Amino acid sequence: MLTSNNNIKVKQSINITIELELYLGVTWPKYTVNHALSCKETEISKRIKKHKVVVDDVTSPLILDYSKSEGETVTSKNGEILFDQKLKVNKIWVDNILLEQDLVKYNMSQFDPNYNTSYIEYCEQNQLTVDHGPLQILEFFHSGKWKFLFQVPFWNWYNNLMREQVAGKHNKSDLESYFGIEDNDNQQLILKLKELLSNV
Amino acid sequence: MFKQVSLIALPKQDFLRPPGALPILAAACEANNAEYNVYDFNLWLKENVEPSIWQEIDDNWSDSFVASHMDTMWYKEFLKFLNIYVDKIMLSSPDLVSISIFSDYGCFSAFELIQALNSRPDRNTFKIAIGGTGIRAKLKILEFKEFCTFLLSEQKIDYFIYGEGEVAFSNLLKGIDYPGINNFDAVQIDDLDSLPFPSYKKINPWDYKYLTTPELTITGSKGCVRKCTYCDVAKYWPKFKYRSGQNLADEMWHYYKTLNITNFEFSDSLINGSMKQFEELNKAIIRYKSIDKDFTPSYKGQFICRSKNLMPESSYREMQEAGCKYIYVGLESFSDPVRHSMEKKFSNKDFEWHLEMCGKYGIKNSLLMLVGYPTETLDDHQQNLSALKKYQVYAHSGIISMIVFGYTANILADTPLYHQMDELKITEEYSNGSEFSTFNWVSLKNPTLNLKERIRRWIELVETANSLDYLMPRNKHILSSFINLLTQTSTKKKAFKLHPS
Repeated sequence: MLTSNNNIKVKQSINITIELELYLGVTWPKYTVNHALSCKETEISKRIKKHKVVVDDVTSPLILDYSKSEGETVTSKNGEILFDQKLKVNKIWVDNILLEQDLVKYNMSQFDPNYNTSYIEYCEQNQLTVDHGPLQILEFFHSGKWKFLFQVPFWNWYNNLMREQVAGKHNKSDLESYFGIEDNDNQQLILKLKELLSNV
Repeated sequence: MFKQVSLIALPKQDFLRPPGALPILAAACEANNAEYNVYDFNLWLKENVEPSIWQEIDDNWSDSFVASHMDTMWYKEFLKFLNIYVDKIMLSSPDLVSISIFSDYGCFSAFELIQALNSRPDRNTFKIAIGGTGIRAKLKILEFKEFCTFLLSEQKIDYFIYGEGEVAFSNLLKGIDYPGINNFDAVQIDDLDSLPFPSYKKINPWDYKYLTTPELTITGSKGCVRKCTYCDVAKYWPKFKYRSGQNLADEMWHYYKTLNITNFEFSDSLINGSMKQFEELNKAIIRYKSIDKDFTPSYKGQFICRSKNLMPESSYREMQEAGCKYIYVGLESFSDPVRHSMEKKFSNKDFEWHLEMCGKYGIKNSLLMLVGYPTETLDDHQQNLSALKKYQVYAHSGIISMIVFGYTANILADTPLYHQMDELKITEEYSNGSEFSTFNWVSLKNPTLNLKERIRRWIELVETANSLDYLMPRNKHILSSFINLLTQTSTKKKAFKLHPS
């Protein structure tokens, strides 16, 4: 879908590729992604594999629904975790461009956990707080829904997010010198320069 | 011969990381058992002068010899702080004061420092040496004489070192004459792997104004594999020489182990000048990463676009895995014919492949552009404007993290373009325009591209890029310089007349 803006066609829908890392517990993680078109699997080791999930032409949030059963965490006799099922969002590409992981984690997504009863009971018994989210995480040890949230046109929105993030971390001088984010006081100089050019 | 050395770095240089010359010279001192102290006047000045005064000093480096500055507050403050600093330098009673002049912009502070050193009553107790690419600057105030030649003939300095300092400086410390010391017969170092790693024993990278975490300069090669027509790198390094990828990765690992620093900026003209070395470097870093999971290096450097055959996807994948985060690409123009004239030797198709791969692997680019090359036509300029629209998604995604339009095309002495002036029928545009000589040209083969047209195209590109959300570095200096140029030319006569034919 295309709309016109300033003589440039602005794309409204996006193509998304998500690279997931799956860690074997007793079984492999089970999940669904809405609108998913295809999934390519690569084995990394006996306990880890990667999935590349492709979703085309979307304009609304992507939802990854992860379901982890009881008993996927295998412990030794003294309680040490030997292996645990886990799902990790490793990388995300939009229109074949890799997104910055920090932006994805803190500004573009959230995880709403859906804890198993046994975990909630364990926390209560041990007086641990259960954080019901939404959480800013990309590694999931519990069932839940991970939402990849965005606005369209995507790239204008993403660009603003990126700039806000940089602007929040650096002072004015650094922003001007190293990031090209500067005040608009150039405008006066450009006007003067144009005036000089027109005087010829 | 020399036992107590003061190593000095001067403005104008970046504050992000220690100047590359200081640790190299420090290593040479250590190898020759000379005691030394390190003085970064650039950093000290920034930290000690009131910020508004420092900004004025910084804004005026390029034309600081202008007499009208002498009575200004910033100039007086600069001299005051310089004299305080000279006293600090002399506290260690050096027998050699070695001054690194990073670029032409360093000549002003070097000149003042050398004056201050020469006016000391203990001047006969120490020698003064200068080095760095700025030493051959031809300054208007010195009637365009070379800076180092002038200073030596006036006996303001005792030595200059031309070319690479690593070996020449070692020989100077030992009192041995060597090519490049007080002459221009420098020889390039053949075996860069044989040099000691630069030493940071007396330099603290944490003192610098880094953006997120401290970083260091690292040098993988000298010279360039290209002979781009506008560039004068070949004047300093005629041959392309490079270190082995393993040796470079060893140096990075060494800084990780000794300084806990893992961020690096290459000083090379091109990090991928030799594909063999570049691939070896990335593989060696990846091997180190597999040994120690906490070793997560990142590096930045200047990069040449290559075809898909020479830079296949696997090369970009390894760059990312090895920590390549940011590259500076001398694209110069989006027009194939213009880049062909420049001898850049890559096509729009290659660039498109490069952007696709950088997008896929998240490698950020700063594109370096050259507006108004002598052969650039209006059609080429239109291609530049169209390409900005075409690649907007890469600006929005941060893959084109910055676009730098520079000062428009200058013709520098000793460049291939300088030697093509007859062929391109390049002549002076204005009579008596020596004060803006590098801008004062027009090609009679493309006569509508005069200075004003080059500036007009520059404005159009900057405004278009801005409207499309491309980020650009601070352009205030360039705009002021263009205003000065147009003001100067308004009183000049044209040096040639165009005939209708």
